[in-house]
Amino acid sequence: MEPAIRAQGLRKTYPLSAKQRKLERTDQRYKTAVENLSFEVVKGEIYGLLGPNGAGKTTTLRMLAALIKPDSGDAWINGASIVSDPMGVRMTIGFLTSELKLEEVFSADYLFDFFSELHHIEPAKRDARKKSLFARFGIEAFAQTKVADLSTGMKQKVSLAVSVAHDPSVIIFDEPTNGLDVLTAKTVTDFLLELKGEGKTILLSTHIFSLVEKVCDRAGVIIGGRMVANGTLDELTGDRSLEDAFFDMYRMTVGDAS
Amino acid sequence: MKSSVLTIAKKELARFFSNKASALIAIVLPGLLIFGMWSIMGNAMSGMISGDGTDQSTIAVVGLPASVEQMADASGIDLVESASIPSAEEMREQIDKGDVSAFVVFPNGFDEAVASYDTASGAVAPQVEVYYNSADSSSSKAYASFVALLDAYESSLSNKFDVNAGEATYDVAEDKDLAATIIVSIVPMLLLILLFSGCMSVASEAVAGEKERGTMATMLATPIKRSDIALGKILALALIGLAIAASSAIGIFASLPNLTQGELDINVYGAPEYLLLALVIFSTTLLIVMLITVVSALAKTTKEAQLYLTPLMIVVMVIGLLGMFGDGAKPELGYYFIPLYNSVQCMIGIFTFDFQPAAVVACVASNLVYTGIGIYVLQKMFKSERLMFAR
Repeated sequence: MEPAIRAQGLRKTYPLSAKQRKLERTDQRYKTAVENLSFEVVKGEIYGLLGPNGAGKTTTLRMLAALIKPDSGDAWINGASIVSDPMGVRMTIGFLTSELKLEEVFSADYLFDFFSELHHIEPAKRDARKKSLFARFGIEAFAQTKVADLSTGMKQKVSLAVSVAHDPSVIIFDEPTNGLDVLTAKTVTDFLLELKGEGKTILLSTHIFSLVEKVCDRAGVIIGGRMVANGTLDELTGDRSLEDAFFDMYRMTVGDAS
Repeated sequence: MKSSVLTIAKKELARFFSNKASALIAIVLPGLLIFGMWSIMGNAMSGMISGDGTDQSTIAVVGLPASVEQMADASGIDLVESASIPSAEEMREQIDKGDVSAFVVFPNGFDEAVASYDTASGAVAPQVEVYYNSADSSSSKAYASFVALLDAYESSLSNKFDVNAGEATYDVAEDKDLAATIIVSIVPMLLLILLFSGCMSVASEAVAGEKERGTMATMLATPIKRSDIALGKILALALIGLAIAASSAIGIFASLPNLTQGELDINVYGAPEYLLLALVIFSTTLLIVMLITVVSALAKTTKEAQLYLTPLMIVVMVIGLLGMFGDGAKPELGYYFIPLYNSVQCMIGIFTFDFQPAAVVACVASNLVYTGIGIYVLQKMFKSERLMFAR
């Protein structure tokens, strides 16, 4: 099957400040966040990047969203290179993180229009999309309320609607349910499955095993910036639970998790 | 202009005006504050110098001579004759109550003693004693007035010549010279400070604040050039900065006559001077907004941005202060290429009616060029991962 996302040998390092070197007790001037990472996400599937904090998940997704450039390697989203055509990549993707922050002084209505304008969506198309998404998430009731006055759940709904305002074919979610209460987390997972039903390709990063088990078709386990396993859930787990399989992989890669 | 730049600029303006009260405070308050403060200061200073006529002081005099009585009448000093002076405690009490402001004792036959006194004789001169309370402003004023009266009387006794006693206007300064002296010493510095402090919070909020809140990353993930985001932000900030500059300038010029209690007529400046001034302020505002925005882009948080901007603010204040010293605008064209200092020199030239057109052109053009360079640098900074995603 044709991949919607293809990552090939991605590598990313960060310079470490003197303070960071002291904190991490290292003399190295650079930290390797991602090392030789390659994987593919097939069109229409949900692919999960599973890994502990600091494994390089966010860096990987930021590279794929063309927010930062890899030191080496490349990736293609619907054929557009993140290195040579970052604008083309950003045109085709929707990007949402659990940290996605919206300007709190604006209303959902204003933000939807603003981001649609940045994606060059025509007003008529924008209004139709807004009506449909606001109805889907029940945003109409608080569409004119400032984000600052909304609950966390309401904010996440607005973030979801805004991130797909331009109807992208590939959606990248970084820790989409992190820090959310169970009801809001369910809204997110339901929406992920709904998007999959619409034929969208979804790449998400998480450290929550149940989320991967519930929504992902395939997953990759990333530890210390390297992809240590990649495949369907059955291929990854064998006869174990995903959690057990993950900790076995972690022990083999890093050592004792405790 | 590109639509994405305008979209960002509109969003920045909408964010700024989303809180009407704070927007109003940022724009109108500097001008309003200066107007109010200077009007009050002008009234207070005028009251201190001339008095308001309600605190006419009375001086109790023992042995009042006819000569002094006549001079006091002519000077409007109110004297009351007294048989003797009270004790120090009673004096303080009467001064506190406001009944009397000072007490004076003349020796018996003062006029005759003065007339017959020979300065060459070496004998002790007739003694006048003036008692007052230096802790009481009314008493101090009465003391000063009365001593001045006695000095004048003493001078008149040996009058050999007078200075400027005729009807002519001996000070040949024009109104506009007076205006220039006052304005040059205050306006350039105040304008720079008001402009800088006004733009500081707005710009640091728009760039460093957006990074701090995490909303910058959201915007960077959209298909819009980072250079357009930078340009849109600076466009909005420039408009806000110009509004602050206009408000500050109006506040300053409207309150100058109040500060000087009518001594200064700002109508001495005509349309050409105001037009040139507007051009200089316009280019200076763009330069300041650019400087603040570039420094803010280096910071991760608004607090950090304010920290970085404080030394820059001190530099701006010092440059403004330099305008208070020196004799008029610098004639050498080279000074008009030094950022910010050129604006101060240009303002001095315009206010003293001593500007060279080439200097104003050099100042405005160089400010615009520096702003252009700054915008280019800012656009590069917006493309830097280290600056945009640093945590």
